[in-house]
Parts: sequence; C-alpha cells; structure tokens
Amino acid sequence: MSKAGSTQPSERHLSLLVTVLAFALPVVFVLVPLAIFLVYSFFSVDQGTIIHAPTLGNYVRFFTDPIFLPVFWNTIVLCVSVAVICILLAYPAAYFLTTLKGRWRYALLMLLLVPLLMSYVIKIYAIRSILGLNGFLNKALVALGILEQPSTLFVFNMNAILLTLSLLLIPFAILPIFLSLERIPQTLLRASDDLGASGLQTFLRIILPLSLPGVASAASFVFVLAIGDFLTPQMVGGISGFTFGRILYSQFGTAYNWPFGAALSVALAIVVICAILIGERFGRNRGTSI
Amino acid sequence: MGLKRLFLKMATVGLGIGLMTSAALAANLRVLAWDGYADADWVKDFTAATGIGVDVVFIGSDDEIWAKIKGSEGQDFDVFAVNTAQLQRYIKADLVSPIDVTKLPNQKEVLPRFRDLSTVSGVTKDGKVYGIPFCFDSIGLIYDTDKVKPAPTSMSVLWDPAYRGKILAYDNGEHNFSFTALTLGYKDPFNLSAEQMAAVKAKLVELKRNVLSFYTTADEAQQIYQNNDVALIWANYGQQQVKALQKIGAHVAYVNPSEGALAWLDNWVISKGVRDNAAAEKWIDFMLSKKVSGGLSERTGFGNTVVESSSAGSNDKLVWLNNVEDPLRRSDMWNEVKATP
Amino acid sequence: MNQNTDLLTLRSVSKSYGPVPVLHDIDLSIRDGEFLTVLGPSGSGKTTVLRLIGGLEPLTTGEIRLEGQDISRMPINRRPFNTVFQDYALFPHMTVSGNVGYGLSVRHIQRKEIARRVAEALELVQLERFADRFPAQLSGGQRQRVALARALICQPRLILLDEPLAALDLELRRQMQEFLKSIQREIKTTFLFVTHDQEEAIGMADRICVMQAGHIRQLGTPHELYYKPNCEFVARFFGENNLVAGKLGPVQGELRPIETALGRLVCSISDQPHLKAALDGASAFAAFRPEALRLAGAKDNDNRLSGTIADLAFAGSSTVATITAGADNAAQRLRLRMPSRIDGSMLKSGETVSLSFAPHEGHLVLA
Repeated sequence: MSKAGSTQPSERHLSLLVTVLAFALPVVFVLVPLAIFLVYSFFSVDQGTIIHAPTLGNYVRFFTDPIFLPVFWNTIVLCVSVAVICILLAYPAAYFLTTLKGRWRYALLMLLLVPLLMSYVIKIYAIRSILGLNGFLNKALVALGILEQPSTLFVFNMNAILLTLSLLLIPFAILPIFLSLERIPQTLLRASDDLGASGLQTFLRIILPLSLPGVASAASFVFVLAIGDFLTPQMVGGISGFTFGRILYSQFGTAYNWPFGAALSVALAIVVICAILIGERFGRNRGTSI
Repeated sequence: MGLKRLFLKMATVGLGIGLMTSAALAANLRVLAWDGYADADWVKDFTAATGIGVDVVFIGSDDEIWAKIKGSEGQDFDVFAVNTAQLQRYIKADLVSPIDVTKLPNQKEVLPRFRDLSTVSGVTKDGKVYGIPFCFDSIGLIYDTDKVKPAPTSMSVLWDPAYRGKILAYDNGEHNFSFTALTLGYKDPFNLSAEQMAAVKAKLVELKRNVLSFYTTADEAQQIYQNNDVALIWANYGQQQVKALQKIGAHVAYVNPSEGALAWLDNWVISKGVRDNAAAEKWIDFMLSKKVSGGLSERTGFGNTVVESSSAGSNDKLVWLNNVEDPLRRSDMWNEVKATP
Repeated sequence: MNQNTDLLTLRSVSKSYGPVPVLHDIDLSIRDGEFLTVLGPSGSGKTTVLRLIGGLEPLTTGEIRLEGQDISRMPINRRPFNTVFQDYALFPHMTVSGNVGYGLSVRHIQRKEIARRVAEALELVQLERFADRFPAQLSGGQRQRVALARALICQPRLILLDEPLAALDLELRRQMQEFLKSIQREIKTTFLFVTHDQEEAIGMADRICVMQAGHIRQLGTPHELYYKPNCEFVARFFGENNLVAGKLGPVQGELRPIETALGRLVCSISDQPHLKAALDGASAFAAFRPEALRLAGAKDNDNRLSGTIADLAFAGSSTVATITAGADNAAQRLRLRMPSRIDGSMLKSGETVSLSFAPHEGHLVLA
C-alpha cells in the first residue's frame, strides 16, 4: 500500500501515542502493581516500619505457621463450592434464557444483570438481613411449616458465606454460560433430533459438551471473584467463617504488615492465575472445534 | 490535522479542570475523624466562622486510621482524631506535629483534669504537646434487659454458656486481649507476658465459641441485633451504640463492668503533612468550644473535656487505654484465635 | 423394494409462516427406492417440503403418509428419515466415528455393533482412514461424506438431502454427484434431494419435481421434463429452449399446428391430452430445443424458418448460433446448437440462413 507513505506526520504521532497508551495502561495498572507486590513480599516489618532488606521470612511463615495453610485450603474449597453452586443455578437460568425469543431474551438477561449495578456492601447487608434469625428466609420457612422455629443455620457461618457469595456472583456465571449456549448452532440440535435423539439425549450429548467452555469461564470467573472477597466473609461469616481474604485484609487493614500481606497476596495471585488458566484452557480447547 | 487539535484542546481543558479542582481542595482542611466528631452542621458553622472549607473522611477503626496516616506518611490529612493509646505510636513514627497550646484559647476553659496536659498520660512527649483531648467513653457492655437477668456486673457474663450464639464481639485484637486480661485479673492489661498472652488467647478462643459474630461498625452491630437473637454486645462504641439501639426501640442497658472498663480518650492531632497549621489549630479550638463539646455529649453520650457529662458515673472504674506491648503480635494472635476451628 | 409402490405421500399439504403462505396445497408421492429431486429457484418452497417431511417443522394443513400411515404429527426423532443438512451440521466435539455412530448410540445399540456399522458406513463413503479426526480437520467434501454416512447408518426409509453440494466447488460437486448416485444405487434407499441447480437434478434424479412459488409445476423423469414440459415455467427453467408464442390450430392426430409470427409451426402433442383438449385459438408456445434446429436436410413435413445469424459461440463439442428470425416488428431470437467442426463453422455472422425442425421434435406449452 503506497498510502502509508503519504500519511501525515501528525497522524503518525497520534497512532504512536495510541500504541504506547495501549501498552502502557496494562503495564502501569496491572504489571507494575503486581511487581511491587512481589518485591514487597520479600521485605519485613519492624515496629510499624518496613525493613527494605530481602528475606524469605514471609513465605517461610506462610508455609510453617499452622494457621495459614489450613485457612488457605478451606478458602479454596469454599470458593470451588461457590463456583459449583453458581454453575448449578446459573445454567438452568441461562438455558431458559436461550429458549426465549428475540426481545424477551435480552430484556430478561439485562434484568438478571441489574444486581451488578448495585452497591456490593448494600447487597451483603440485604442478604444478611434475609438470612438472619428474624430474617425473611427463616420467616418463610417457618410459615411454610418446613421449620418449627427460626434456625441459625443460615447466617454467621460457612453456609452463610457460601449462600451469600453464590447469590452475589450468579450474574457472573449466567453471562458466559448464556453466551456459549447462544453460540451453539440450532442446526446441530435439529441434526441430533433428526438422528433420533430424545430431548434429554440432545442436551446431554450436544448442548452440554458444547457449552462447557462457557461453564469453564463462568466457574473461573466466580472462583476468582469469590477468593478475592474479604467483605462477604467478614460480614456474614461470624466466628467460623474465617477465610484467607480476611487474613489478607487484616495484614493491610489492621496489622499494618504489608510485606506479609504481599506474600499472602502472591500466594492468592498464584491460585487465581491457575484458576484463570484452567478456565481458559477448557474454554479454548472446545471452542476451536466449533 | 483536526483530530490532533481537538485532542490537544481536550487535554488542555482536562488539565485546567484538574488544576481548578486541586486548587479548590488545597484550600480545604482535610479532617479524618470518627462518625459523630465532625457533624455537618458543625462543619458548616466552622466554615462560616473562619472561611475555611473542610473535607471530612470518616473511619471505622483505629487500625484504619493508622493505615491511612502511615500509608501516606501523613500527607493525606491535616487533622485527625486518635486516642491516647495510639498517639505515642504516631509520635514515634514522626507522623504528627507538636501543637502550640497558646494558639488554642478554649483549652484554658476545659475541665480541671484535662487542663494540665502533662498530667494526661500519652498526649505529650519530651515536653511537647501532640494531642488535645476532647472526648472519652468507656467500653462497657450492652445487654438486652429482656434476655439477660439479673443485670450483669462483670465481663465474665460473655463466657456464660447460657448466652451461646447470642453475643456480639468486636473484631479487634488489641482491645480484646486487653479486656480479657482485665477479666482474668491481670494488673497491666497493656503489657502482657508471654504466658499471660497464651492464657488470654485460650480464653478468647473460648469466648469465640460463645459469639455470634464479630462486628466492626456500630451500624453493623445494630443491623445484626435487629435481625438476630442477640443478648449481649461488647460495646466498642459505648454510649453512642446504646443510644442508637434505644432509638430503634431495643430494650437495652449499659454497664461498666466491675473489673474495670477500658476507656478511650480521643485527641485531636495535627499531622506531619499539614498544609495550613493555623487552619488546623482553628479547627481544634472550634471543637473545644462549649457548644460543640456539649453538643457532642448530647448527641453521642460520650464524655467531653469541656462540659460535665454523664458518660461514666463517679464510682465506675475506668482503665484508660494505653499503647500495647506489641500490636503486631496481638493482631497475629487474634487471627490465630479466629482461625481456630 | 418396488419402484412402483409409493413410500411417502403428501396430500394437500400447505405451510404458512404466520400470514405468509409458502406452500399451496401440495400433492406429492415419493416412490420406494427412487432418487427424487425437488428442483426450484430460491423461494420456491422446495426446502420447506423437505423440512415438513423431516419433521423439522409442523404442517399448517394437509397430511403426510408413510406407506399409508399418517405421520403428520410424529415427532422428528421418531420418523424413520434422516437428513443431510446444507451446512452438514456435524457435531464439532465428536470425531468422525462419534458423529457417524451418533444415530445408533442414542438408540442404545451395543458398542460392538455400533463400531461394526460405523466401520461399514465409513467404508461406504471411503473415509475409513479419518475415523478419529474431528470435523474441523476435514475438507468440505469429506465433511459432506461424514454427514451422508451419519444419515444412512440408521438405515432410514428416506434420506433427505438439503442442497448438500451447494458449498462445494464445481469439480468436487461433479464427483459428489456421481458418488451420491452410486451410493444410492448400492443401498437402494429412497433419496429426496433438494437443489436449485437443474444440471445437478438432470444428472442424478430418477424423477424431478419442479417447484415454483409454493406450487409443484411438474413431476416427471428428466426426459419428460426436457421434452414434454407442461408449462412455460418448466419449458424455460429446465434446459435451454426456444419458445415462440402463437395461437393453436385444429388437432391433426398426434400433431397440432400453432400460428406464430414466424409462420405456422406443427408440433407433437402425443401423450399430452391437455394439449389435445385445448381450444382452437388458445394462446400457447411452440417449444423446440436448440439441438433440434437444423440448417439443412429439411424433410417435407418439417417446420421451416429463416433468419440472420447474430452471433456464434464456440462451446467445445458444440457451437451455439444466435439467430434473429421474423419481421422487424416481431423479431425473435432463436438458438441453434450444432456439433463443432475442426475446420470451423461454415457460417458467418450476418449470413441469412434457412432453418428447420421436425414436428416430433417440437412440442407445445399452453401460455
């Protein structure tokens, strides 16, 4: 193309600027902070001041102190459970959406995503009042005769964190699943019918496997968001719902031990990156063959 | 190129707006305070009287103040409120400026026990005044008068299995270690030996099993109280918290326990990064006026240093909070308590 | 299997999408074991016929009978038919074997049996070596054959093919046509093949059903359609043709004259009772194929025409001459196809020529 030669110098500068910005933004806002965290994780703290001398002490403490690894592990299990619950609830919802026609489909989708616009803290407050002993859930269960008297099963424990995180994060699961379901060509379903498959067989053998990429990204989304959350466990976890996010938060928010907090963050970041990679791998593997 | 010119124009306008905003901010006094210390009408009165605009940021815990002030090396705020137990830590870290008391005419009018600041533990260092006391309260117990009978007199009620799952505790290692140490009968709850720490930790694990949840703000405690079966609250926010609960119709009362109630004394301090020292002094002096201090007690129930108030009776034993032997250690041990299954 | 028994019958079948009718009262019988092609331009309703038979869509009115049994409301997965879709609709997450065996595995047939029949079907479509590939790793022609194997492994009574060759290039399409035809002969299953390509239809079909605007215009062997089109649409749509408008004259046995601007032309009406019954003076066309026109050797009873050569086009084995015939105010273009000669044509553009065609090589269609 000879056109490139006639480009105005100012235009070239502008495109250079855009290119630089495109690279600079992720570097400045993602990579640099991550690198700072990594560096800080090798420092230590004494009497409220950070000692800028490299040490592996934080990591040694993480692996040897009896409180961190069990909480870390429990938190991973918790967040995997949240992801599983979200998928189980989001899948039917997303599937139902794809069966709707035209305008209804997107109107309802938008409606399901509306909670994302609301304040996170307010949502937790609201859910906590619903789950409480005098809350809506207990009142409803008692009124229906399912419970004889209000139960404390739903709040200030791990169940509460599980329920609350699931409720908060479901929209993040619905969207990718919906998109992957929508991408499945209708003619594949007709072909399956045509070959004699029942509705259930078509679902299990065609729709489900072809929507797995969406399920995988939904699961990794939810997992990553859940594991980084400290507010929800703090507010509904009570005494037994102690999670890694809360420990991490306490290092920054209350203990003022940034280097150790950074080391814990690095551990968390590794898990998060793994989760994203796993989700990504699943998503791509199946996706290319469509 | 038209696009480029447009871009430049936009950049210029953007920069202009940015400068204007920061100029406007520069004139404002930046105050970091607990909810209730800088109500909007007082701020308005202050601005009307002095012409100084005020930006107030409210905080929810001592640790948050430390994180905010230490995090910016004092550059983000001009004046902040901190209690006597915490203040020495800030002085040591060189985050606060000494205060010239002669610039505070109202300081001469305060109650006798707060008049000579050298007698108030923790507000001075090397003869220099760093904090101006203005507000205090005990950290007692709130109990539901329908559920807790007879009325409790000791903190030990928190360990009573009868109230299992009906207790709200405060999510803070330092205070919890201190009050538990008092409950165990230790003389100096702020300087615990290793064995004492271990004993307190074990006692806190026991407490945890009796607790419904740990709260951080008064609002949060109130919301939990409304939606659940709560009998006792370890009242970090003391009078403020009781008043708020009574306002919503809760049948609650307040008691300062017999083994001694921890009590905090909050001071106004000027940060190292203060931009306009005179404005900061005016703010503190304004806060020490009879109108504001009296109003503070009326509104919150806290004691103030200017007008006599009824925060704690004359017979109540108050243990002024002090800085503790190793805050980091207490924070870590508190995490361990929380992590214990 | 007997080509004379009807396998499937459509009776008064109509289909509308909302208020828009796409099929008007169709009657169609498909014979057992035949290769029936449904031919028509796009929008003619040919694919709709296939979708109704396959059960992909419900009928609006009418009924479909399979050997006398009404299957109009039988769900798609119970009909003993299988479809080869236009875009193949292969399952991307399954291998070739998985795709081909799908129809058997959903019927809970034993694994061993499935493996045997998949191998058989793949051998039939010559894809044995590709059993473990995924569809994305196959060429268009290979995918086409997988789709075919997947449809015929279920041993359906009828295989429905929805323009299956449309996406292939010309050479591959020719190969696939032959291939399809040979497979159909081998397995003797009834094929219903939908296409808009009349050459494809002529090459493969036992019978062709020509559709236009939601109606069936003619159903017959390619030969019948070519030489005895029953209407102007078929006469023009199906192969190259010369049509000259005129008024019918009185019947003369198996022949009937038509008065046209190019003079009186006599054409055959054998086996076409509707032409015998048409009134004298009725509007009609004389139709004769380019290859029926001759430049010389006219016999006594042949129709004679004259005209000027406007254009000559060499087309390999044959040469096509475009000829302007008739008076200036009623000039008409005719096409003449003749075998090519190595020493070139003796004709030149602008030359005046006499033409003729035998009455039995001309036919009539009512206007």
